Amino acid sequence: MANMVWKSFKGIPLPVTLIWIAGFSAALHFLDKSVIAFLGILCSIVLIYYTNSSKMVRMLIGALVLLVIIPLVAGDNRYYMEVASQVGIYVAMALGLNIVVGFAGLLDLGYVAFFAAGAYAYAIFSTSQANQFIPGDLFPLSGEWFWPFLIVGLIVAAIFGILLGLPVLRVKGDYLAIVTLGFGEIIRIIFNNLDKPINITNGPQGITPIPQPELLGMKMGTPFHFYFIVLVVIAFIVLANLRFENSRIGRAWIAVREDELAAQSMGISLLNTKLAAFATGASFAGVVGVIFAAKQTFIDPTSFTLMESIGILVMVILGGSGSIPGVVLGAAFVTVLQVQLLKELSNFLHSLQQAGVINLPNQLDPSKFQRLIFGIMLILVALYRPNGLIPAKRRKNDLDAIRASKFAENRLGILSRLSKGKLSQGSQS
Amino acid sequence: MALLEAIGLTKRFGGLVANQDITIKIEKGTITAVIGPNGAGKTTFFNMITGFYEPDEGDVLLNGKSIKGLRPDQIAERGITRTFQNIRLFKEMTALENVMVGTHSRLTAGLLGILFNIRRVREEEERARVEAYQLLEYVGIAHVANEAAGSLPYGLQRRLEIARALATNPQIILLDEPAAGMNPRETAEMTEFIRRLKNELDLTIILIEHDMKLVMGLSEYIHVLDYGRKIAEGTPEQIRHNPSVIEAYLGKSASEVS
Repeated sequence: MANMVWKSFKGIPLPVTLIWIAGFSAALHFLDKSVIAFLGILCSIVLIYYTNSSKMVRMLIGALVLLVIIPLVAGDNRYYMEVASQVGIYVAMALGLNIVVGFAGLLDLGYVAFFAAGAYAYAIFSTSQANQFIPGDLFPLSGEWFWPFLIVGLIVAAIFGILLGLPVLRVKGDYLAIVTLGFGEIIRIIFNNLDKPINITNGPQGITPIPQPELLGMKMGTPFHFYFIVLVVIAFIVLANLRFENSRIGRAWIAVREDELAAQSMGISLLNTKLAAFATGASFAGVVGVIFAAKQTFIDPTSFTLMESIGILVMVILGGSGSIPGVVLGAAFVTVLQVQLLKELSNFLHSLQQAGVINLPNQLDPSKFQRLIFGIMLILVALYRPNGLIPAKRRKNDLDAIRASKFAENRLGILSRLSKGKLSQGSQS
Repeated sequence: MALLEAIGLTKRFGGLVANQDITIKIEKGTITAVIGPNGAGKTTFFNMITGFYEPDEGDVLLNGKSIKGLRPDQIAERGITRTFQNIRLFKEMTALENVMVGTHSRLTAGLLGILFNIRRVREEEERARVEAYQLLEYVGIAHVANEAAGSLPYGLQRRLEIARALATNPQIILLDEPAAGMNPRETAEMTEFIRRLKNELDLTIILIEHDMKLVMGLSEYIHVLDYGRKIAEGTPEQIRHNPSVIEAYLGKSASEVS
């Protein structure tokens, strides 16, 4: 029954979406710190995704919301922009992990290690920390270096991915999860202890002050700026995800996920394919790590614990493993819930308590139930939407375009062996 | 020179000898059947040819060159492909995409080329799509090109698996029980289809099959395995009257009775 309703669902009418956007834009503008208004505007992205109009129109409205409406109505509100860039950072990370877990089916519980690699790459070389082991007093670097370091972070994390992947990818399934978990922890502990004999990471004290980005001498350190930086990076990562998904390598990833033996007999090298997935996923985490370090201006190993890895994995699975819109939704939803919704609820109940309306024992403070609510959510999703909020869907190819292709004039591949006389109609056999 | 030669292949799993000293020669452009009772070691033999198992002893020669110790993907690249006894499709992918996976090793796109969507990659993709579609037409299932492979009926899945194997542009195709679970009419269709593969595509075909009608009607040469050893080889006519084959299939007393 529910399935039939779903099938007959043709999309949301455009006016509904527009009214929704207008309503929540107004709410966002007039309310100072309303999580609901913020969630509403985030949900408008989902609404746009399901709106019943052409792809161009939807992309245009989406861009309008992200690039114009949100910055315009909430741009001078530090709080909203902070939440938005935080959501963005997790969306970007989850999209990176989606390649490893969603496409290639490699359960990676140490993903945060690559995030740490990117963050430390920028932190160490942009502060005076690097002077500890590189002679010549060349550091700290200015904020202008932030931009090239986005590439450096990408490359460093990709190298980490390959180096970790080489030993780790020999095992499969549950064992892979355990081994990546172990490696993730090892990396964190190494960063924690690499302050002696040579002080590279400054150990548990962490590194500060990490310079904020500068562009042509202009400081870009406010949440407003980071919002745009993150948005550009997300756009890049989404584009990469989309291109990989329907490519030779993306197909190899999915083939390996679906059936390793069959994939091998199709000429796919397991190790190369898995390494490519690991390195690609890692490199995106590395870029995000650089942004994270610049945004926080301080990093220490406690930002890169196992819980972070698990949190990102939850986003991917909740949203829909292998589904790009699903992962974006999952990451946004979990981040808002994690950083804002529960805290807001606590504050609200506290204010009620202070007004004497209710008497709330300390133990029932909602922000203490974060893990519980996470757990319940995961169980519900596993039971009722096992493929995630927006399940992955393979693209349907345009068969008319294939038949009309310039290559269709000749018989390709093995069929070029067919001589014209021998050909019998395939459909009648 | 034979196209494919297995020389003295032996594979042990602990105490069990799955294949012992199997020597089989395959000539180009022939259909050869490997038959035998359940557990005779037929699939083990296939797995050694295609690189899934490394033989403990013996060697596999393709065009006179050893392919022993190569990985399955390397052997696939050299032109030996296979289907599986229990169909192994990429279930979530569409039929068309399944076949496109088969073109993998003939495509060259790398991560950066795909990321920047360069012209060469676009052309190559389009070509692979067309090739995959032509293969679906060839095996007669182009009408389900956009359906998820896992949702197809059994008979079409068998055909799709063969189309996917053909996409690797093989010289030799190993079919592991292509007619398993089919009714007599479907089996007859499959028999005709395999004959077409050989005649039209100049393929060399090795098949494992229990359906004797298919085996006898199709193969030019038959090898019989029993308890991991080769007990007979010959033309269908020779095999039909070979006493040790009858014994292996029907038991000793039966062969005495007949």
